[in-house]
Amino acid sequence: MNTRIFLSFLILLVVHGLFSQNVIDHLFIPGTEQSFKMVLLPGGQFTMGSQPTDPNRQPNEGTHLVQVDSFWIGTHEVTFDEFFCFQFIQYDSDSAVTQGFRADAVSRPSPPYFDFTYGRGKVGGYPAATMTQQAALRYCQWLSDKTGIFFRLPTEAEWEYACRAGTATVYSWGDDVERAEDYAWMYRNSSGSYQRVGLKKPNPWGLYDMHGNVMEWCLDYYVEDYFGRLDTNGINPLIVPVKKHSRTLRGGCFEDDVERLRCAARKKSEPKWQARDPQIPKSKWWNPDAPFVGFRLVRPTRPFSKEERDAFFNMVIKD
Amino acid sequence: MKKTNRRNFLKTSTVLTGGTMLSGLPLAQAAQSLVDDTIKVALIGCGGRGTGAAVQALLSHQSVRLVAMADAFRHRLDEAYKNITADDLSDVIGVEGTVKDRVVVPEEHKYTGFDAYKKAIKHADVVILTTPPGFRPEHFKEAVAQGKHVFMEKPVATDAPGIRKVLEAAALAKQKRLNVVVGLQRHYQQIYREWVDRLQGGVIGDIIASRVYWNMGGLWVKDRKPDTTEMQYQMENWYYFNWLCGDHIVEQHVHNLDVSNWVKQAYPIRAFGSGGRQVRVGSQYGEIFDHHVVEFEYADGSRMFSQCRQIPGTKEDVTEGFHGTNGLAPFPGLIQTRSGYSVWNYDAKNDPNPYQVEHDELFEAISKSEYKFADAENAAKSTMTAIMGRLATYSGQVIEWDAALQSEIDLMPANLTWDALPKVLPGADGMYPCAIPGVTKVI
Repeated sequence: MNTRIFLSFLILLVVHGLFSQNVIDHLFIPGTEQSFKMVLLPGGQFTMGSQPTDPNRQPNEGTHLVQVDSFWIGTHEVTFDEFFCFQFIQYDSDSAVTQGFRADAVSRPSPPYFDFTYGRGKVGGYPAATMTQQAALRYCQWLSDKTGIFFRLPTEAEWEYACRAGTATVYSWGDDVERAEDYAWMYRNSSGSYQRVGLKKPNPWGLYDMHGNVMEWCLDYYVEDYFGRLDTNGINPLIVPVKKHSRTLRGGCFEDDVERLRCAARKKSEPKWQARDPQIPKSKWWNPDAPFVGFRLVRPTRPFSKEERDAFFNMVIKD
Repeated sequence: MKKTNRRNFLKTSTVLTGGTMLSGLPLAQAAQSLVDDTIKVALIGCGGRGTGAAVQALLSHQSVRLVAMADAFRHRLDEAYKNITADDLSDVIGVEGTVKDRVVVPEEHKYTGFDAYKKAIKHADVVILTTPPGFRPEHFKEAVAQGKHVFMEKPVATDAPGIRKVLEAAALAKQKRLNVVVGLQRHYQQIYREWVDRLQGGVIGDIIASRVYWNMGGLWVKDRKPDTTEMQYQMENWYYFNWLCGDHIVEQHVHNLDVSNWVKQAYPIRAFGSGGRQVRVGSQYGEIFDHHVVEFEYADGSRMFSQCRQIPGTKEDVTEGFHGTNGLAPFPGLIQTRSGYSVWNYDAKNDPNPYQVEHDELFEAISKSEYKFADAENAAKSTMTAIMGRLATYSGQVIEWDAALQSEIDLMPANLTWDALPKVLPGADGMYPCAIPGVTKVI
């Protein structure tokens, strides 16, 4: 039954969406009451990186013309409510769009030893935070296996393309930092915590919290000279990860000042985000010292077979 | 380790090593040290926490070598050895590096079984005790008897006889001037040190109420493997058996209860409370509760309100707070006047990792032949506080400190072998008996 609900919503909304400006999918996680929305972005070319006129420009933000294919992206950051369906088997079930999905065969996050969000909130629309990039990718893999749809993290290029939403300014709302509080949670307005997703204004393509709230995992291995490493003429670039650290994050977070929220600002993952994990080996799943890290889903427009998806996750997940 | 040698060595080598020690680079030092001045460490209990503690010891800014390892299970010991000698510990160190050059554990110094600890302790100057807590009293007693310095994890016992054993050994350790650090790491965390110091100094007046919580989702569970004895199963799935774990009010919540005791500089005289298992019911969850709510009373009449819960999907909160006659300390790092005006707000962002500080300070003291740390007595009494809470929720009665501490109820099995039977066994349905308030006798 849940399978049917999932598909009918999908078809209804896709068909409906074709007649409106934004094509939006409303997707239910099979067998649960959790759902999320994705918007279809047309492929295109854009100038990635920061302009020389940007006073806060960093050396790792050189500009380059980049082209990305069309893709779907989550309108909101993934919430704990959604993540719990993966984290806790009691919120999951064998219910799936695909055949043969078995909830008891899924490798799930280990229970954290304490609340790594330090009471910032979990139930009721808060962004899923504190997970490692591997954990975020394993969520994508679980959701892909349940739905037959390939979900993954955005590449750095896709993320910035989505964040810019056709703009070439420092922020997707322009260059004026005075307007930042309409769009973003950051140091000066967050009271030291992430907030429920979607409370601020979206960017021109309908994406919420791209700037601030939690910084978002991207797929790429972090390199300082991103543009120096691109060997694809800037078409769908991805720096394939070779080991756990460092991976790239984008968007800045509730602890950051506004300049760290710029479209072009880049951040790398750090081992010290697991400093308070007193065990060895460190957790595959959790960063006890990173309540400011979350993620957002991307879904390529072309279908991927189970084999293709598994090969992809095997390539990018490095514990 | 020869103390006089070490002192002399340090005097003459300060110039040589001072620069690298100050730089804080853990991998640079120690290469030139003399054999006699090396501090030898034995690891007793090779789980994830023991592995972490061993590496932290090896990363302390002294010449430290891991020389012996012990665990009940061979597979755990092997796993720990592999992880400690890994080529890349960048996850732990923050930069690429390894500590394998500081691991000198020949096959004949790898001991397994229930008595492995005795043999491993012999080889060391310092022992790391990180088995499940039920074994801690016996292991600590042996380490002190053999004249070793100790780092041991919390809690330090699971029942009153165990606490008494730790208190006796703690007194002997003092006599012998053996340093003992316990992994109640808030004592080694700058934000807590500063905060507690101010509260003890009376910044919010007399403390009239403490609020301490460890509310969370739940922890790991190990399934019963085929062809294992009851003893093997309980040892693998140790969190859910009181002789090994003490229930989560002891194993986890001791951290928060200890902070209140630390601020009050006292231990509660009695406790009453409620608890049970509402959600976490099943043979794999052994005999422990999934929630406890306890009110403790100190001798000055002030109260400590305590909650701990392991139920997924519920409000999580792990914290401590204090109410004084003249102000508030709502959570660690914050102090307010009675009207809620913040007078002290600590930014802990750049504080060092307390798990590393524990070892840095312990090994520095040992290398200087200083006697600085006697954590065991407080750890025993804070653990006893948690045990008293458990006795209160299990029985539904008011539990007095003195009576609880004198209890002769001993949870440890009479014999420790793989074929011996623990005291709590599953019924025909596979379920373990669980305390029933109003019925269960606890003292």
